[in-house]
Amino acid sequence: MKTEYDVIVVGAGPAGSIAAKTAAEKGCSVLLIEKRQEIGVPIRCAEGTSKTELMKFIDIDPSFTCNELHKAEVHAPGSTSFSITTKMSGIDGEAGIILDRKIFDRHLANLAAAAGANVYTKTPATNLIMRDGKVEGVVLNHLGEERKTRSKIVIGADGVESKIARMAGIDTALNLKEIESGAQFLVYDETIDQTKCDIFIGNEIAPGGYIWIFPKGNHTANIGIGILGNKNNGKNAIQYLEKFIAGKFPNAQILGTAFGGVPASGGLKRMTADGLMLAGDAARQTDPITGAGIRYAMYAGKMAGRTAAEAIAAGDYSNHFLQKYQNEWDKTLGKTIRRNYKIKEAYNTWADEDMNRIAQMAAGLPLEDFELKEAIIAVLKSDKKLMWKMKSVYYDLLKAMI
Amino acid sequence: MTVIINRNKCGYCGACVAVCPTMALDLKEVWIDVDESLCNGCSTCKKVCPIGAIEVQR
Repeated sequence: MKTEYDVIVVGAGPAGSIAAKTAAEKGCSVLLIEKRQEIGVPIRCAEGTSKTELMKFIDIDPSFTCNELHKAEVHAPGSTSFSITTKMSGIDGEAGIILDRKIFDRHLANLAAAAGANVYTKTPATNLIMRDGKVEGVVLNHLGEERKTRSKIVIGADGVESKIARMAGIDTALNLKEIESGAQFLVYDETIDQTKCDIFIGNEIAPGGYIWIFPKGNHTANIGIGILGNKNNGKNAIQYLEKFIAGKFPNAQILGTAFGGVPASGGLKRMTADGLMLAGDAARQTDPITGAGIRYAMYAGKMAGRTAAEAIAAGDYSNHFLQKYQNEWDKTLGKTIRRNYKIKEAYNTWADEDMNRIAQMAAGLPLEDFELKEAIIAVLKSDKKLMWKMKSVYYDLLKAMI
Repeated sequence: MTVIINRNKCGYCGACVAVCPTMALDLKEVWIDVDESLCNGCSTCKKVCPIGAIEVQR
């Protein structure tokens, strides 16, 4: 490990590894550090993502893809269900992919290393080196030994529990309505349908969130739950999940256990400082409706890595320059997740009966002929009461269609 | 005031760290570090914990 780099990336998840890869490819000297002993573990993820989005960043390899799916069935509380298909995305070749994050995350770090980044595990950043309010490197602990490593730019991709931002004076603490509390089992059960994802909604079974079944092959699936932090009704995520599994899969065997807090805030208002950019869960770059984060993290990593390289070429590491990254984010995916935060807030007012009515209506529509956004509008249009509940976001939905 | 974390239950996911308003919590590799001098006893961490591993002592 050198004592100085152009760019130090803290955290080797999808955001960090793609940022390190991108900056290294553009000729920067890059250090990528991961606090954990192994990259990719423990799992804190449902592992589902979009195939066509993933292909924008990497070649898809069977070593990290467990399953490819084309249908998700949404189950409302009153047991009516309707299906969403990848055809509705309107994107050629779209599929839902269930990843093996252990292999996937290490693969991304491998790509960063191949691009020339120095990569180290069991190396947490314990503090930032600051001078006159500017970030100039990190204090890190490498296998128990403290080191000061200087850099022109630090990219904080240190996950939901991010400390890098707070060390630089950016308050990233989430309040309870901005975080999903998640629990998941990797389940073995021969009755699991391996051909589709299942989503279960309802204020009784998963308040402010949903339960998912993402099949992974070999009679296994990730069965997990996210509940909104302020809606738990005194029960923990795992208690809701255990109840669901006991009812649906009484013979389930548990091959893995995972927990996680998923940001659902719509993203940080401020993601940069002098010498610092934040990416991925650390910048709260997740979809508040679905909890999806992998693709958002990869986009952010790429934007941050590219901006870092541009800043180094220009010799300008100021907050002003690095805001290029935030501006690019805000105009693209940032816009989507902020809109989805508003939709989620409106959705949170739905009672179970609203969900049932919608599901019954959706089940009666020829959804196969719709694109997803059109389907949502069509369903809302047919229910005045619900349209009223969604009035604050109705025009956002319309705008999103245009 | 302090936070008691049941290490046998904790899944070291860091959700509690993400909501702590005072930076009293830190996710190390497989445990949560508690800085008692910073804890204000708000119990937000307890409410977000997916597995019920947290008790707050006032």
